[in-house]
Amino acid sequence: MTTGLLIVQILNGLQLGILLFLVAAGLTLVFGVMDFINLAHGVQYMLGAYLAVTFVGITGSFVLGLVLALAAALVIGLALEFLVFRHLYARDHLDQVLATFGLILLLNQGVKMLWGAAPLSVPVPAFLSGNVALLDGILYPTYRFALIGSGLAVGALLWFIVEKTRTGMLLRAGASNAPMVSALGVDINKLFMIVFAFGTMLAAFAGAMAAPILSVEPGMGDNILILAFVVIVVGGIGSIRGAFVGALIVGLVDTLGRSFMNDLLRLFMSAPSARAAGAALSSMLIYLVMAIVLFVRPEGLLPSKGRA
Amino acid sequence: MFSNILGAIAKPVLDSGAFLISPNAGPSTMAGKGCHQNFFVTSYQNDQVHEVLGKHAQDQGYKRAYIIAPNYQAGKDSLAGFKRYFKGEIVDEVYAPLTSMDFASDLAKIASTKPDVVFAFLPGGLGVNFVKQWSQAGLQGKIPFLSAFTVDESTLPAQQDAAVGLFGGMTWAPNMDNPQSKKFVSAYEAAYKIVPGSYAMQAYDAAMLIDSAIKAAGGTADKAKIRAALKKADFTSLRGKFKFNTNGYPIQDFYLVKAAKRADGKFQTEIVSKVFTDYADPHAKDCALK
Repeated sequence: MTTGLLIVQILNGLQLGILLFLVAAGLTLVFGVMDFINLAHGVQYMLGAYLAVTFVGITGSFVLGLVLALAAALVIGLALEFLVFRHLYARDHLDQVLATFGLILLLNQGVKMLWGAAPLSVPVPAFLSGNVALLDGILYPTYRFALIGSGLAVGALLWFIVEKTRTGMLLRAGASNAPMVSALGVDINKLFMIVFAFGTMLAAFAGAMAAPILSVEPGMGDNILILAFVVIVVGGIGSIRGAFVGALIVGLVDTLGRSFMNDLLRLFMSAPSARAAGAALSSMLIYLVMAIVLFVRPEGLLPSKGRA
Repeated sequence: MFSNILGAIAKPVLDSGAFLISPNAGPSTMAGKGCHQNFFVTSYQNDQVHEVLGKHAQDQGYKRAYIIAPNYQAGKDSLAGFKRYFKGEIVDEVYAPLTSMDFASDLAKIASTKPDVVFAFLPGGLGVNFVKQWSQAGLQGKIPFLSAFTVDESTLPAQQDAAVGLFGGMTWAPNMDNPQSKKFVSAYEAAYKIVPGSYAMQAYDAAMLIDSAIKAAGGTADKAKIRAALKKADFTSLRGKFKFNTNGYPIQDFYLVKAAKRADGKFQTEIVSKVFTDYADPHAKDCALK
C-alpha cells in the first residue's frame, strides 16, 4: 500500500459519499419533515439519469441536458406528488411503504418500456474528460473531481437554505414538530410540496451527475436507496448535517473497506481465506457501522433538534 | 436463459420425458455426472469461454495477472477457468459484490500494482460500469484487458468508444466469414436495427437444430428417432463447424475477439485469432452417456 493509492481511495470514498449525500438529503428531508417513507426516492434518482441520457443526447451539451433533465424531473416529481404521495401523508408507514414499493416496480418497468432494458450511458462532457496525475503516476479522472465539487456546492447551498432562510426555518421546525408548525398557521401542505419537489430534484441531480460514470439501467436506484437509508439512519433522520456526515462515513468506510480489507486480513491468515473473508466482511462493513451507531446513539449521530 | 434459471427448470422438464435444448446456459453440473440424454446445449460449456482468455494470456507470455469477478458461483467458476490455463502469478483475485456500481477503488489498485494483464468477468451493467471507468481512469491502451461476457453486442451500445480494442472470447462474432452467417447478420440488422450478439446466433442455431431433427425424424412421434437426429446436429451452423459431444455439449472452435467500431458507427466484436480448435469441455469425461 502506497500513499498515492491511499489518497486515491480516500478521494473515491469522498466521491461515493457525495453521491450518497445528494440522494440521502432529499430522503431525510421527506422522511424527517413529512414523516413519509418514500421508497420511490431511488427510482427518482434513476429517472434523473435516464432524463440526462435523453436530454444530453438531444441537445449535445451536458450542462444544457442537465438543466433540462432537472426541470423534467421536477415536473414528474410534482405530478407524482399530486397523483400518489399527497393521498398517503396521513396514512401509516406500512401503507406508504407498500404504495411507494409499487411505484418502484411501476417505474422500473416503465423505464424498460420507454428506454429498453439494455444499459445506456452519457458521455463525459469534453471539458471535464481529462485526468489529473496524482502521486506514483496514478491518474484521477477530472470528472470525479467535478462531481465532488458540485456535491460540496449543493451541500453548501442546502446549508444556507436550511439555516439562513425562512423556508429553511419552517423545514427545521417541521422536522422537529410538524403538527405544531401547522397549528401556528403555516400552510403545511405547501411546505410538504416544496420539500418533496426539492428532494426529487436532488435525487435527479445525483442520478444525472452519476450517469457519465455509472451504467444507466433499470433498477440502478434500488441499490443506492438501501445505502441512502443506511446514511440517514447513521446521520439522524431529518437532519441535513447528519446526512452529510453519515454519507461521508458510509462512502469512506465502504471504499476503504473494499480496498484494504484483504491486505489487512492477510496479516493474520492465508491468502485464499483472507480473500473469502475480506469479500464477505467488506460488504458487511457499513451495516456493522450502522448497527454500532444504532446501539450507541439510536437517534443517529447528528439528529434534528426535538427528535432526540 | 441464465444458468440458475436452467437449473430450476431442468429437472421437471427432463423428468416429463421432453427434450431440453439450452440456447445459452451451459453449466458444468449438467456436462459431467449430471448429463442427460435429452439435454442439448447449442452455446458452449460455461468454463470454456474463460479458458479461452486464460490460454491467450498464457500464450502471450504475460507473467502477472489481476483477475476480477462478481462474488457468486459463476464468478468463482470463471476465475477457476481462467487459472486452468494461465500459469503466471495472480497479483490479486477480487470478488466484487454483485451490486457493485463503482469500481474506482479496484481501478486504483490495478494502476498501482501494474499487472501485465487484467482479466474480468463482469456481465451486464457491471461490465458497462467497469469498462467506462477503466477508460476514464486512463487505463485504456496501457494494460491489456481480457474479459468474458463483459464486452459484447449487448453491452457495447452503452460502452461505445470506451470498449474499442478490448479483448474477449467467443465461438462466433458478427464478422464471421461464411455465407450463412453474413446472410443472418444482414437480415437481423434489417429487422431489428441492432447488431446481433452471440446470444442471437446461439438461439438461431438452436431453432435450426430442432428443425433439422424434426425433419429427419419425420415428425415428433418417435422420441428415439428425434434424439438420434439431434445428436447428429445435421444443420448449417452460423459458426461453420458444429458437432455434439457425448454429453450433449458442442465440440467447436473458440476465438479471441476484439471490440471495434464499424464504418457505419455501430459497435461489434470481431474475430482476431483462433485459440482452441475442436475443443471439447473438460467435464465430458465424467458423463456416463455414450
